[in-house]
Amino acid sequence: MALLEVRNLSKTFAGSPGVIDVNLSIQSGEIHALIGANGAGKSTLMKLLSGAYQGDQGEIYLNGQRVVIENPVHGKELGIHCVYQEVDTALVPSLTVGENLFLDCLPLIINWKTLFREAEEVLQKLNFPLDPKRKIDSLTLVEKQMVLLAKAFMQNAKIMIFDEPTAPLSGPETKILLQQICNLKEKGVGIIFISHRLQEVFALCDTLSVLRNGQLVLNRSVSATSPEVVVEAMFGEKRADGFVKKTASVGDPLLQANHLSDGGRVKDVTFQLRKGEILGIAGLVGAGKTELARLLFAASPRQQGDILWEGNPMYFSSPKQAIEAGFALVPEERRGEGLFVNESIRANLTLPILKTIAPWGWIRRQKEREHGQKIVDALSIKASHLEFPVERLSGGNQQKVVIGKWVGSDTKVLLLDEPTKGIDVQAKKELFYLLEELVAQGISIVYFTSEMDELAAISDTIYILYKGHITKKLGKEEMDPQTILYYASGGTNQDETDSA
Amino acid sequence: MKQTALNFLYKYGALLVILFVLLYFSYAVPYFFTYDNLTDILRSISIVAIVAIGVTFSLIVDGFDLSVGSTVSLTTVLTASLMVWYEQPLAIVIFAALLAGAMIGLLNAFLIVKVGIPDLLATLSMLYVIGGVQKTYTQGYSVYNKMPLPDGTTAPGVLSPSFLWLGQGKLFGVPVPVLILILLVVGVHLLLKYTRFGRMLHMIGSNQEAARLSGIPIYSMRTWAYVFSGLFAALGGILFAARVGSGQMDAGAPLLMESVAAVFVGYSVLGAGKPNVIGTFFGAVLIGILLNGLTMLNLPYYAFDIVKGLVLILALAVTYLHVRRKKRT
Repeated sequence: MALLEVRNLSKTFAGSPGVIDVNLSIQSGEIHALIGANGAGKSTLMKLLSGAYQGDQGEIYLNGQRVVIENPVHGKELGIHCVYQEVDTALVPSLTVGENLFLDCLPLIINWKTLFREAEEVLQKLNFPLDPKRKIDSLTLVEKQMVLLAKAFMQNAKIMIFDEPTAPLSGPETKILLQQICNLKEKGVGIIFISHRLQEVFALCDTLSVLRNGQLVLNRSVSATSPEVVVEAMFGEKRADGFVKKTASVGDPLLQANHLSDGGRVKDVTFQLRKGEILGIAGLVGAGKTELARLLFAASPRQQGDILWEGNPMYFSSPKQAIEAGFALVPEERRGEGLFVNESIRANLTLPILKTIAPWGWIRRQKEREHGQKIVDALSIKASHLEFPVERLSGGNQQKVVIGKWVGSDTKVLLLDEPTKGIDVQAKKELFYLLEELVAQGISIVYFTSEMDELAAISDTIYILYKGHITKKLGKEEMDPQTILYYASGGTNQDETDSA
Repeated sequence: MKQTALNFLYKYGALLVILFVLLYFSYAVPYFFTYDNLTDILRSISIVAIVAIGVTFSLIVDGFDLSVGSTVSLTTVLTASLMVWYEQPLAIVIFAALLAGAMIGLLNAFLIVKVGIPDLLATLSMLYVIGGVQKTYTQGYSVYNKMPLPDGTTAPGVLSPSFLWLGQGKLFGVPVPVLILILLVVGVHLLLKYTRFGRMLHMIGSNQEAARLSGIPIYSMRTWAYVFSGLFAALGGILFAARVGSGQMDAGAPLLMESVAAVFVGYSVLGAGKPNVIGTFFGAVLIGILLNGLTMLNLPYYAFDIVKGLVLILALAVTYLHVRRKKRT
């Protein structure tokens, strides 16, 4: 009898598929990988299992008994635990490991000796090398995750769901975490492991399921499949929504980045950007994309490496100087770093060119309006008037405002960090046409994303960023989402040598 | 229907309250609505309003300056003492006071922008430091004409008539400090609304990280905001000395509260929803009318703090309720 069984589970949202008619079963002591592109329905399924969502149809069985999981607390009582990426929100940093383990069931008067002894026992049982007397804030990320695992285990977790647990971890840390997950498996816990990194999946998991557009398209034991099959299942024949890029003429080398490091996530990155090129940087969550984009823009300090502009070394140490040199950044956190949500479209759009419309500091209102209107028309930003607050625009139009800010200033290199995050299909298409127009005007674009199908559709060249390193360069002819994802999830060059 | 009513209230509520208070006092106090009394009100609010303009600057960049009251106190005794003790000419006196204000602003900015202390805590500490400097400098005495000095002699200088004119005189029948205030309100309004400088301050207040990534020099701009805050407080201090004709101890202490209240009342004037200098002016007017009218109704002065506190609470409530309502929709 299966530990957890899901039968015909469906959950739909207005406009997006959610999860459709999913069947799944997990045995005690099994590690089951859940794989899918962004928006495939992984997190919806996870929320259905944890009780955060209620299914529209279908049933969930635990040990053969039908259960209706009312909310996450109820889910935990039934033994279903989720371990989210943000471990810090679930722990109290100023308390010890022991206290955190027993946080939900601390007695009125604490017997410290017993508390630490019992904590020690739990940790030993799981083979976790942790001192229960250490404070949480002195722990590394992977150690914090261990505390959460131990806590869930203590509370009789039968099913544990991991949401991309290894994304923020370094190589050695990942190894440690995977080892601990194996320890849990040996104790009979059923594990659902969500990850983009196929390498890990194939090393760790027993079975796997692939979701695409809310449907289960592959459900197999790991030994009976291969990374290539999985990647194909993830994307099917889908390409970036029918967008076909015109073949643009790419010009001479413009920018050469050599051995860039930021002392953290970005490690020894070298690439070349040509004039009028759309350069894709493909990487999964945690690969260091945002960090690399910020490094190029001098928004975070450069530890090592140099940047050559048409062969000449460039020196800049602040976003202001980067902008003067011709760079522009469209950050991933649109509301947090890109937009002035309380200001008008006009004020947002004209900020970088204030100098030119404000001789001696006095803003020429007429000129400002003309400039704003020109961009609104060129990008077809849908708003009734220029004074409209950007807060009330749709995600796609907000993104156009952020990009529009840099159109019409002296931008030569546009850095886009996950530009399609949170915008709908139509807006995505419009964005691609806009980018095509920009490169036709001679602007070069560096496009950072984990959406492999977008990269395949729009890039001239793709570099794969894996754990902070550039691991592969792909030319136009090798670009399909499967290949990109294969390398971005840590695939090696082996079959490249096969085909060569 | 309810929405439009609420929006109407948010937009015109503050002005309606001013109108209502004005009408009420005109009805309740016969002498209230006379030219003399109205200019008196304007004269008495001019100093608060000028200090409040400074506070507006710090709030625009999403900061705060609690030290303005102490700065007024320090510059008041500094101005008076430079004339009474050291017989300095007017130009030097005014320059020295403004310089002191600017230096305090620089120091605040250093603590907040460079060291990274949260604005409220940094300026709270500075409030006490400046207050202490003021008391130490005057050894706890107020400064006035021909005052006896610790060594037994009398002070050599006096506050000159041309200096007193700044605080007490009239030009075309309008009190001089009121003229100065009006010039400043217009000037700062233009600066904040129509110049690159003002726009950059606003954008920093709206989203500091986005401003940095748009190439705005956020550190120097925030520094400017605190320097302006200090400068306007110093100007308030100068006018205070000129108005009362002496350098009173802790003269600025009540001004912090009143100026902050004025700025927050200003948030809701014409539904601006953010710090703005026209709103600040009307905020100061409201507080001035209330204090003047209540004095005439013989409310004891020690109860005034209750009124001021309530005005601030009301203004904050309107502002933050509006923010919450906007978030929900």
